[in-house]
Amino acid sequence: MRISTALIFDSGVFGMQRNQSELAKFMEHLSTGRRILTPKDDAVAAAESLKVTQANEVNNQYLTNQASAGTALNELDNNMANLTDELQNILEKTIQAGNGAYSPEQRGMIAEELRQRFENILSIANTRNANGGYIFSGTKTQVQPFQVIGSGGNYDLTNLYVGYQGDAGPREVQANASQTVDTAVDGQTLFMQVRDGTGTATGRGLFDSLQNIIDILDPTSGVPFTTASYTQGVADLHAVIDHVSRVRASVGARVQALDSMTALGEDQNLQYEQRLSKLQDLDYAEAISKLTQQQVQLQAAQLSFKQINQLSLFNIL
Amino acid sequence: MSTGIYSIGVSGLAAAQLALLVTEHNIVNANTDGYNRQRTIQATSPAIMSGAGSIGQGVRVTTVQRMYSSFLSSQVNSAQTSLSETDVYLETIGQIDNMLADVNAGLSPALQGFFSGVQQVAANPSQLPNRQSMVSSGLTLADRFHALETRLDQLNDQVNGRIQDGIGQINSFAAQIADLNQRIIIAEGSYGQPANDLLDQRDHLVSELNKVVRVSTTTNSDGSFNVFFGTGQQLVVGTQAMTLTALASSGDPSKIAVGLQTAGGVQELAEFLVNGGELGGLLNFRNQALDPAYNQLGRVAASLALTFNAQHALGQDLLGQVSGAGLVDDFFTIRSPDVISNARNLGAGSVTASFIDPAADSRFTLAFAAGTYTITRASDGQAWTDTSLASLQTTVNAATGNSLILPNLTAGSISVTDGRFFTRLTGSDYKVAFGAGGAYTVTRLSDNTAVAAGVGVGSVVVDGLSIAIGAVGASGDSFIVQPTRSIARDIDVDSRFTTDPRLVAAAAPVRTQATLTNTGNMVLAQGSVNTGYSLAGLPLTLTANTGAGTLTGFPAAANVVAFYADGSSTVTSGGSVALSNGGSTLAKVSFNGMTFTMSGAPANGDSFTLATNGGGVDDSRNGLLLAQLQISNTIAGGTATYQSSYAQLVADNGIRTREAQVRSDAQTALLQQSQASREALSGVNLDEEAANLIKFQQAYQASAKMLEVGSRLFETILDLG
Repeated sequence: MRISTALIFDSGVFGMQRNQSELAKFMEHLSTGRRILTPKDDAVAAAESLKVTQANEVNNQYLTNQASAGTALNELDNNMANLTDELQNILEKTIQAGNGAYSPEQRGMIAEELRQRFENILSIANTRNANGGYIFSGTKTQVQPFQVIGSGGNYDLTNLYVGYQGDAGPREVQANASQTVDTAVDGQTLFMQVRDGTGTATGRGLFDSLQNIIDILDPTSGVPFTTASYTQGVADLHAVIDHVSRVRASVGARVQALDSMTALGEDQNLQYEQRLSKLQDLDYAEAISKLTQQQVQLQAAQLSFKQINQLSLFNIL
Repeated sequence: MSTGIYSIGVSGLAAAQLALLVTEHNIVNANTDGYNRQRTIQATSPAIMSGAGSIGQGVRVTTVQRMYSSFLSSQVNSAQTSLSETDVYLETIGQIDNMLADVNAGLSPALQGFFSGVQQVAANPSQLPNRQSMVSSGLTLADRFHALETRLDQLNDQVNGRIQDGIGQINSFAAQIADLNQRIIIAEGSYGQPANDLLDQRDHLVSELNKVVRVSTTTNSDGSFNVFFGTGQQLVVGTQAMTLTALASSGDPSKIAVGLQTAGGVQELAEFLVNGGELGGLLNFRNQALDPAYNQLGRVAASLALTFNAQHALGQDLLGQVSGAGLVDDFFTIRSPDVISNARNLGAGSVTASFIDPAADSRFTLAFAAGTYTITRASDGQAWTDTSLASLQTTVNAATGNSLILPNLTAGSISVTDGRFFTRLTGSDYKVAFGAGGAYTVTRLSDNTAVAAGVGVGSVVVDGLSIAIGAVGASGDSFIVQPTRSIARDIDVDSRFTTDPRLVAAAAPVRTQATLTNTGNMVLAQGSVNTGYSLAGLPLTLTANTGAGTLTGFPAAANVVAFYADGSSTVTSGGSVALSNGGSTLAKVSFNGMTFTMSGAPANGDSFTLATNGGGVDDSRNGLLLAQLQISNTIAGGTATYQSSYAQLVADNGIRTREAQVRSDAQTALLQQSQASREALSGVNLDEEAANLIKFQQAYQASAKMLEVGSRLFETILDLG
């Protein structure tokens, strides 16, 4: 076959250009560390990595949500721990006051201390969080939930000592794709509807029971101290403490659930990262070996170009 | 005799000289584009017949031949036009590929940022900074859509500009070819010999023209070329060249089309007539890559806006406002679908289009009469019927992509909704073409399928769109509906949210609260609302009557659907539902578009208040639903997420770019092969020419020697005298 001189030059130059552009590409792969420089390098993997990236970021968002839910629940638990301490204290003092040797004056002094503790509990019930919202008022966080409204008599849910202004709404955050976690306990559930172990309402709220026992112990209240009323008062206090512990246990269960979700989420995070790495990252060993191969090819092309173009009949004539 | 010796020697000298000239011409033109090597064709001069036989009279050059094969040249041209087409396509689509390659400049980070903002609001709905941050990230997302659209606009401008340039080049080449035709006719007419260099120039021009658009040629008897493109449209006829013009397409003025100037004015050429070369590549790019990119991006933007807005409208803002009572329903604003009237329309037809609200698309009316259930979709009135409720539920869910749960209706009708929102937009454009008598057909252009037809004023629903015929057009008139092409250009966050982020509806409009004195342990959930919900009659109190086994207090006029733990359901009106059904306990009640789930058993007389959600500033129920949209199937009839739909665009474009790359490599190889074949015949090889130089030099020397011999012979005779 005849070969034209121009073709010899052209194909030599074309060969070198092709080698050079391949070299440039390998160098870009190596300098970025990316297997896919533009989606055309592997369109399916590029699209897949977009989806995995979103899944990963959504998962990170859930981890953030879980962390903030955890913080809120811990704050809640601290408040409930303080509440439990106060209630335990009140129960001890109340039992102490049941000592038959105590005079009405001595019971009055205990009632005075209980009144102080009552104020502490009321202030726990009206606690605000860092954002200034009331933590026990459901979703009505800008309304102070608890106010004393009682005006005497035996207090129960039909004759409230402390009224509730909040609602029963949960404050949920998205903890993972399918689960939300309530980061609050509404005041109605915790303080008003005191329930027994079977879930049946006792008919008296926490504050009602506290105020009743204070009135029973306080000789100036006008409520007589009788064995029957005192026994009922102590039983009510037990019911309240049991109720608070049960609600607190439910908060603890949520924290535990969050912990296991976080463990799972972090594990998933790792899997997403690995998947992304497989989709996007360069195999350096392979890339460097290809780069070397390409360099050899380019050198060969350059050398053969030089050799072939030295051959001309005109040189000899 | 001796004159014979001289004349033969001289003929040899002349022939060798000509051959040397041609060889030199070859050598100096070795690098001239389009040059075909030449050679002299020698023949014997007419012999003199004598008694001694035929006496040769030397040599003559009959012609200078161009080593040219029209077959090999047309192969090169054909490969060249395909390669130019592929290369331009690859270069332009590569720009979209590059644009989508930058992970940080793409849509995904902005989309993720926006939904993180929504999650922050859902986590702390009462916090204004969180709301402000969500609105800002919404604006960032809108800006990202704008930026991507702007990049596509730049490509569109580039395509338009390059089409205009290409048309200019075609006209210039056509004029030069016509001019060369004229010169070739004159040159060859005068001498009866081929005008080799002019022919080379003309062939070269045809080859260059093929880089712009695919053309074919025929040769006339006078040696001139006719040049055709498309399916035989004349570009050059002999010495006449046609003129092409760039003009705005009548179907879509944003696109530059190719027009042919005729005596009757400029005629727009259908795009299929222009193929091959740069122009073909540009048009392919526009149709196969650019338009789909616009539409797919617009589809994500439109679907995001429509579904987000539909869910947003079901919420309550921080001011306590709900839809119809102060709430700004739509968080995002988008334009309506574009409808372009063909510039050549003759009638006074009017066509408009609007998006189907995903809320209407998820709302149905279920009716039962004469033993047959009928369910009708609110968005388009489409109905399905069956005598079995279960099989109707299967049918309608399969047909619509919804996940409806149909209640056990025994009479009358009731509204049934699916809480999921999605669009059915396809990312295609549509053509509305009018025939005689106001009849029209709607064609989906992506697959050229007729999707709807009708007669006269009215409207049809197609692929998540409502196309309304306001006035019928004349027969032959057409309109192009571009639902999603421009959506990404001006999607925005309603400015009322930027000035007052409290308007973001993170809360739900209803809430429930158990009465303090309840003694049973039934828990009634906070409730959720669906499209078309009504707060009329709230607050109301539901009271359990364990004696009668009922829950009473529902609005008397409302149809109340009650679902039980075993999945059974009842539809009742009159204000009360049974607490159990066949031993299975009440799990969910639904009325006036509101749904409340419950668990546990009530004590007799226990009651629950259902009320509007005044003051529920940290309620995030709607915020959570808004955030869930990110991972819900909201596009393509409920089969793709926003992100996967965008990923589809990236994949589609990447695959097309890859294909173009492979095609370009193959076409390059093909072009090289055909060029090598042509060069084998037509190319100049300098070694060969060097050898020829020697050969013809020696021939010249030999002829000169003959003259010397002749001269000696003559001298010998003279010496005798």
